[in-house]
Order: sequence, then structure tokens, then C-alpha cells
Amino acid sequence: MSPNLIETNALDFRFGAHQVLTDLSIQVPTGAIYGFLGPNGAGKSTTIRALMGLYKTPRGSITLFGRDLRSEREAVLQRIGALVESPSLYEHLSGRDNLEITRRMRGLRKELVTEMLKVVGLERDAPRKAGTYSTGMRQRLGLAQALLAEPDLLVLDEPANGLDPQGMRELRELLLGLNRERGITIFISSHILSEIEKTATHVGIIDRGRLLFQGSLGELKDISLSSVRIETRDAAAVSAILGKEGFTARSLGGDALALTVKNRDEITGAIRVMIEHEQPVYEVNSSQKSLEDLFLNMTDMGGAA
Amino acid sequence: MTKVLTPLCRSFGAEVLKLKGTLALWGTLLGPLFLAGMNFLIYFIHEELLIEGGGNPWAVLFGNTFNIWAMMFLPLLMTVIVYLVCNVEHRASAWKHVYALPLPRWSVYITKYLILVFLLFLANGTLVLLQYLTAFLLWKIYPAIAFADFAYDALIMMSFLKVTLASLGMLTIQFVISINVRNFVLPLGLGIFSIIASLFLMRWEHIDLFPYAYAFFAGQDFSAEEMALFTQPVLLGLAVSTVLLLIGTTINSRRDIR
Repeated sequence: MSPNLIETNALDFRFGAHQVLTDLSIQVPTGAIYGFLGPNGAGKSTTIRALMGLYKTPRGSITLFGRDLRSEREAVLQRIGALVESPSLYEHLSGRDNLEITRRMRGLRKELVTEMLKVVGLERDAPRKAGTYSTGMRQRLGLAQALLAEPDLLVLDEPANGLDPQGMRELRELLLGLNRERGITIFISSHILSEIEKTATHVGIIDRGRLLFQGSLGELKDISLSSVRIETRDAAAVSAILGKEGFTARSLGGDALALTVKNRDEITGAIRVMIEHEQPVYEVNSSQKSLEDLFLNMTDMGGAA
Repeated sequence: MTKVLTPLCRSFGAEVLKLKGTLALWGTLLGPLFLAGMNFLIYFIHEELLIEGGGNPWAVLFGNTFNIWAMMFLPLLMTVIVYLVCNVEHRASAWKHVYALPLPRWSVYITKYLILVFLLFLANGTLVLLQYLTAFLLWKIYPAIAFADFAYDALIMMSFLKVTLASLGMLTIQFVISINVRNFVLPLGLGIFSIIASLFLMRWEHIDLFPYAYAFFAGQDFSAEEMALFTQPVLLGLAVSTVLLLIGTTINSRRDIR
């Protein structure tokens, strides 16, 4: 079996004349927390709907758990819990009854309802009508619906929408726990990088229906690294030494120099060279662009700024 | 067999729970109560209508009901109930959740329809019960009404069954529209317009082919004392609903769920 739990191959999707997804190929490794990033309208929700079989993609294939979604839809969906956009709640029913509906449709054991209410911290509010819930509570109930079947894959579409910082933190901890303790693979979309930067192991960046980047969080950080500022005693001499060793360094005048790096390991390498040449290292500042800037640049959202 | 029954049972169990405390369920029960209550009041005040002439009081009591109920009240009630039941999903934006569950799409669609058929039977059954209750109360108040002298139960039951089955035609039209259209103007507008049209066009020679009039013609069999079950309006009702349901299910399995 492929090590990837989700694999899409050259997906295309259009609404009438409007091309929404173009040649989209994503790979989500089993056990990963995959952050699916992109500005609003980039095609995140469309991708998620395609993954759940809600949208029929005219071209390309979707494989989940190594099985073709189209031919084995129910067997595949059996192992997925999803929260697609805002939670689907019957407001005239209690929180518990809302979960009970999902339970009945999936044919799960009864105790799971109480267990999941506990997991998302809604036991006390379970008898209240879902219509009276706050945004955060609705979001948590939606999460409970997704978790009810004890899925192997959790698909969450902007789950942090409408959550306050406290709620976001709780969500983050919950997701990390599920991933570590139960080995659940998580596919989570967001339009704010910092929201998932602390949880994601892998990242996919999408804009205008095309995948711009896909890889581990470390790889993304490498890209964002451009230059490092190092303080030493004699910047000009150190620049010359580093240059001879194959590094790109230039003196910023006085005691500071700028080292251009392609990945994080090059920083270690340069510092080792400096120490071998008995040059002092007083300070190392990564003038790393924030991931947020990188993300904004990639997706053109930073254009106006 | 389990491939068909299991998803149907699971989905049906959920549908029943969704009805809890809804206006649709209350409407199904209160609609008949309203009509039976009015009937009771009429004959409570004018009991002579059921006594004079020495005729069959069952025929008078139920004949009046069948006319109003089958011609207008039931189609209107079902138009609203179908809309309300489908709107439960629209309002909760539930389709994207429901269709991402490991159940075949057709099973979700069919159980939604079955719950409406159930409500249709419930409305008719409630009316029969309340009518019998009305008869019983009137007979207690006015022992002169000769309910006991006539055995009419078989015809009453048969006629109600026929009205119910003939209504499936309009019910399915309303269902196919209400489940696909989020707004209320189209399904309610079309339902009300069609019911009024069927009243206006009563003299039209082909009105018996118009789905919103099937129940009325099925109800007419009561006065005609027609005992056969599969009369034209019943057959038409079943045929229209079967064809539309097949088309609806096919469209539903293919459409993109927003």
C-alpha cells in the first residue's frame, strides 16, 4: 500500500465556465497533520468536497487509504470523519440528538455519543438545543460529529473559523492529542498560516486552484530562509574565509555580515567554519521572512501590502 | 438484501429523530384535528343534518370530509409539510454532512421520501380516527343519530386508503422540487397555484389527469360506493410518483452537493 493516505492525481473541477481546480495533485502521508493553506476562494473547500465525494471531478483520480473513491465510496467514507465548512446542525434538536442522528446513520454503538460529547467538552450543554449554541460550541459539536465514528482520517475545513484564541488553542491541543495518541491522520484547511503552523507536519499551499507548494513544514521553512546576519569581530575577513569555503557571504561593514543560505543546515556549516578559523560568533540572527510573509508572497495576497 | 435494507434502516432511524418537535409533525396532527373539530361543531349545532331523512349518517359525516379534505385541505397540508421536512436539511446546510456519510446517496433520498409517505399516512389515519371520535361523541350527545344502523367501515377505510395513495402523485412532485430548491417560493408557490388551478379546472375534460386532483377523484369513489382499490386516480398517483422518484433519485446521485 502507498504510504500516502490521500492521493489525488491531476484533479480538475469547474463550475460552469469558472475553473476552480487545475491539475491538483496532493499527497497526504499516513499519520500526518496536513495543513491545506490558501486564501479565500483558492479552492480549498472545493478540494475537500471532492475528497468527500460531494463534487464529481470530471478528470483526475482520488485515492484514499489506497482505494479509489469513486468505486469504493462507502468503504472509504466509513473511515473518514469530516467537518465541511460550517457545522451542519439541526437547530431544533439538542446537541445530543444532533450527534445521535449521525450515530444512527453510521450505525455506531450508543455510548460513542456520550464519549464524544466529553471529548469536545459539551456534556453539560448536550441537552440544550443546538440553536442556542455559541459559535465555538457549534464548532465543537461539528467536530464531535466528525469524530464520532472514530475515524482514521479527519478532514476539517477551516475549523478555527469563529473560535476565540482560547478555543483555537484547545482545538490545537485536541488535534495534536488525536494525532499522537490515536494515530489519526488529519487534513485541515485554513487561510491563516499561523493557525496551523504549530500543529501541521506537512503543508500544501493552494491558490486559484493550483498547488503552489507541498512538503513538510521543515521544507517550507527552508524556502523561507534567505539570509542570516552574523556578528563577529572582523566581518570583512570572515566574509573572505566563508567565500573560500563556498558560502555566499558579504560584509555589512564593521562587525556584521550577511550569509545567504538555502537551508537551515548551511547556517551550522558556516558557523563551524568560523570556529575552525578561530573567528568569534557573537550573534546569529535569522533574518528569515516569517512564514506568513512567504505564504502571502506565494499567494499574491501580500501584493497590496 | 442487507445492502439495501441496512442503509435504509439507518437513515430512517435518523429521519424519525429529525421530526422531533417540528412544525411538520405538529401540522400533520393538527391539520386533521382542525378539520374534524370543525365537522364536530357543524353537526353539534346542526345535528338534524345527520338525522333527517333517515339516511346513512356515516355517508353525510364522511362525505363532507372527503370533499374538503381530498380536494384542498390535504394537498395544501402536504405541500407545506413536504416543504418543512426538506427545509430542515436546507436550513442546517446538512446535505454536505449527510452525503459525506458512508451511506449510498439513494438511501438518504428514499428515506426522506418514505418519511413523507409516513406523514401522509399519519395525517389520513389521524383524520379517520378523529372522525370516528366525532361520530362517537355525536352519538353520545344525540342518541337519535342512527350510526349503529349502518355498517360503513369498509368503504370508509378503502376510500381513505385510496385518497392517500392518489395523493402520492402531488406529494412526489412537491418532494422532488422541495428537496432540490432551497427557497420556499417555488415549492409553496407551485403547490398552492396547482391546487387552485385544479379547483378552477374542475370542468375541464382532462382534469382527472392532473396530479393535484387525483386525491379529489379518489375521494369521489366514496360517494359512488366504489370498493375497488386500483381505480384510475390511485393508479395514476402511483405511476406519477414512481416515475418522478426514479428521475429524482438519478439526478440526486449525480449532482454536486454544495
